[in-house]
Amino acid sequence: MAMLFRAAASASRIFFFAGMGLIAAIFVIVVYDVTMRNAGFTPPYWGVNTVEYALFWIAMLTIPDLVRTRGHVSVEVVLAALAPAARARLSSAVSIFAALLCFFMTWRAGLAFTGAWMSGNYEVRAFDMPEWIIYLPMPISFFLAGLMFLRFPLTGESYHAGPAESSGGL
Amino acid sequence: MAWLEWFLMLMVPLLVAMALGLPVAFAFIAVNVIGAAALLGFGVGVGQLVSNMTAGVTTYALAPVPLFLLMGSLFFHSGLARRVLDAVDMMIGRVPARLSYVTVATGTLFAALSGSSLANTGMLGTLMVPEMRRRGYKNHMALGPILGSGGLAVIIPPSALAVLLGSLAQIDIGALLLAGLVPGVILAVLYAGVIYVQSRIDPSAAPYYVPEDVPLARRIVVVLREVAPMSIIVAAVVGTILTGTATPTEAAALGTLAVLILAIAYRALSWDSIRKSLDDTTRVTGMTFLLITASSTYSQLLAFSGASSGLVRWATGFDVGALGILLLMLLVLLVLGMLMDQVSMMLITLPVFLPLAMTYGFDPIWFGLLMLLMLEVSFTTPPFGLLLFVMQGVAPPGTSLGTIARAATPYIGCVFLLIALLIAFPQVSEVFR
Amino acid sequence: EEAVLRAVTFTPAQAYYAKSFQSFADQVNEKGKGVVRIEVIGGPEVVPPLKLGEAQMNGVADIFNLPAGLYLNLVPEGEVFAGSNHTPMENRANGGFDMVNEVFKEKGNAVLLAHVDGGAPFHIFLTKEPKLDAEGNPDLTGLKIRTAPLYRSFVESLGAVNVVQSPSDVYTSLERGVVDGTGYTVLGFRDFNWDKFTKYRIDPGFFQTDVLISMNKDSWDKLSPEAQAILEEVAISYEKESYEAVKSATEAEDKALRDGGMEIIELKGAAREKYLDDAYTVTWERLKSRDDTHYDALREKFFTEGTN
Ligand code: NA
Ligand code: NA
Repeated sequence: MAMLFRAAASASRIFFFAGMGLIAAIFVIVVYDVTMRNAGFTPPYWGVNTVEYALFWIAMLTIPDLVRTRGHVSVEVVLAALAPAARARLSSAVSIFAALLCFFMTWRAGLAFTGAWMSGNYEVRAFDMPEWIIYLPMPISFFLAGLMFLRFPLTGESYHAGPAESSGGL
Repeated sequence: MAWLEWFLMLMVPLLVAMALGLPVAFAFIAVNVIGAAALLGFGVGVGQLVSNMTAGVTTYALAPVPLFLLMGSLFFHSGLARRVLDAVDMMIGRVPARLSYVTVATGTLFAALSGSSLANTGMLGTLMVPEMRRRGYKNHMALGPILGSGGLAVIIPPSALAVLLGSLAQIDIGALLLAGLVPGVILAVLYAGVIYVQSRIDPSAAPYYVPEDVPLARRIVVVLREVAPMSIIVAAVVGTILTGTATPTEAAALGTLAVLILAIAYRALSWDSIRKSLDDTTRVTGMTFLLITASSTYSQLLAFSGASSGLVRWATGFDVGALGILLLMLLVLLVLGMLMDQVSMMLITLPVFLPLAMTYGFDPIWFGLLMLLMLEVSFTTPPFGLLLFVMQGVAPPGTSLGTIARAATPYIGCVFLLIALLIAFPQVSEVFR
Repeated sequence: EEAVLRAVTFTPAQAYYAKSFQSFADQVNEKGKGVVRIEVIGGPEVVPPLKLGEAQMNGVADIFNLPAGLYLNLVPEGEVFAGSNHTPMENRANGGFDMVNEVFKEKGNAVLLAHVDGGAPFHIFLTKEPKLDAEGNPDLTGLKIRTAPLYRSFVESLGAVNVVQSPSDVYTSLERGVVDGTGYTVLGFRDFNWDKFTKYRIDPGFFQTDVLISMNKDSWDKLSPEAQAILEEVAISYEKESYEAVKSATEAEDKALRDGGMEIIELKGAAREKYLDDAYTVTWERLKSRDDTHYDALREKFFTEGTN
């Protein structure tokens, strides 16, 4: 069990690094695009839509590691008002519920992925994008995120125990 | 089912799940699953839900969000921010409450150079609090200006939050960014006014000291060397949007490029600062984009069930007039802002507010700016105020959330004053149109 | 008991196509009192446009105001509506409509009721004057043009870079020079205020709008024969009515654009023939490459050679 969680945590980390790579790639693509255009060359036709799909991939790839590091914002008004014991119980219940939700999404996103794979469906923007590529990170990320949620109660920790700065924002 | 039943069915579980501490994005997803199954049947509904989720953030208009964040992170992690602060510190001479003014002036500059108020506040706090403590500044003179000017990053372009609002509300993003410039500077002036009044009321709150005397020639050299080059960053972002050379997305990329080039020029760039900046950016982007992914489908369900249109019809049925509706919306934002983060607030309110704003003929950019100001307020309103938490992280041990929130109160007052000003004189938002 | 059909449109309620669909719905509701009623739920705020084909297939709503071009991924044969140089009424009379309807039933789980708002061709609108070569052919090399999937390949074949954007982004893009032009119909062009920036239009137009009124097949099969008959009857008359309406509205808009100072780059003679040939070839070839099963039969019904 512990090994499974360790492996899932490592995988989450790798997914997160991939997300970092995509953000760097977006920067490079947009700079390349604007430079080409202003230098009078034809910018790549795939630039805009590639960035668009990358944005969705970033949203998916970062899910599990943000669970692991308590990075998804939550409202803790009720939790903060509870006595420590009750707080711990509620926090565990929330984590287990979130894990089940993630596994449910794994199943449904998996169905969408296999459906897209079997049908050979594609999305028509500036180029024909195979739908299975869009769906690909979804089931895997939700599965890892489910494991990361489950890890909190099983190791006696709390998703909500993190320092305040761990919840990001703009 | 009538619209009210659907509205309650979709809204109540969401608020309960959020209140119980389920991370907001997952609360949206859970309610989406239930709502889609109830509206469309389980197989079809959830299938369409998963499919629609892929459409939530796949829009080019959202690309500036990670880029503005990256730009801000690089600005801080490379140490460029520290240089700006030191230069400003040297500029401001012998005045009472000197360090409070230094904070606001630096914060305003940071706001023009970074798109993230969280990063700004963290940076200002880390840099200014120790020095202010050493000089015997009381909490309201030390923490207040940091919280106030940290939030300026939202209003003064570049602003990731403005991009997000513009994209979600289909407001012209470039115009919304530019519209914040003048009100942002007005706000900074109001902040200086607060400091002046506070230091007159209680001079001992910010003990006077004589700063190191710097000869004029040296000051000029420092400004030319440390601050003037930063205008390249402003030119890359605001300048390119203003002159129409670049879209907001491209301006964000060019701004990031400008920061990189400056950091290299100052020999301040390291692989470590790049990695840290990318790490920060990816965290916040991922968190935000999952929220949008989840909540965009929530808005679709609200619209599909007829709840959105029903609510609008109901709300416009009252005879409170345009101003009444506007104040009501601002009040809702104030209350929500006490409980949740800015992105969630936008996502919950926009599907209802936008049709209302359209019905009453509000100018979209002006309305967007007012919303943005309320989002800034929500950063410092307890119990859930992200900037309060950030402050607590850098303030001296034992500083309570209440103390920090009280320090921010006069600065929130300034924002309300600005909102009143914008309602009375909407042309303030139209300077760059 | 009265059957209620929930409808979704691909444009917001205030746009031309949604309004046109609303008048179709009004006519159905009038004629179908007590038998069948259409209730419009909403537009893109309800289902994202690129997901509408899937929504129709799954029966998310019952009846759809949805261009075939938005779900070519599901039914590549949808290309025939835009690629036809006949009127919708001609295609119905010669049996082409029924033929393609069978394909939509099979691949899209959809029953087509009518090809509405037809007859409006697409034009290329530009912010810069296009170059013409020695033979008078337009050369768009180096220009970035906002296109829809429908005419993407054709614009590409003229040398332009195609940019796919939702109509809501186009205003800013034209203003900032991110794109140098956009394809669109004359009808509805001024609604977006794009004419502020685009001062040139290439004529002739090519293709035609491919807006369909269609139903999820399961919802259709559930209807009483009486309700089906009413829908078909109104659909057939509305197909013609909306065609005429589009025609006169297009003429009025064309005049307004010209009066507003838009310069028309009119291709002539062989260049005009080549331009139209290229346009139609690209779209029919794309259909052939995606699925050529019904290609020959459909081409025979929907396209007449040498009548451009
Ligand atoms: Na800013
Ligand atoms: Na708050």
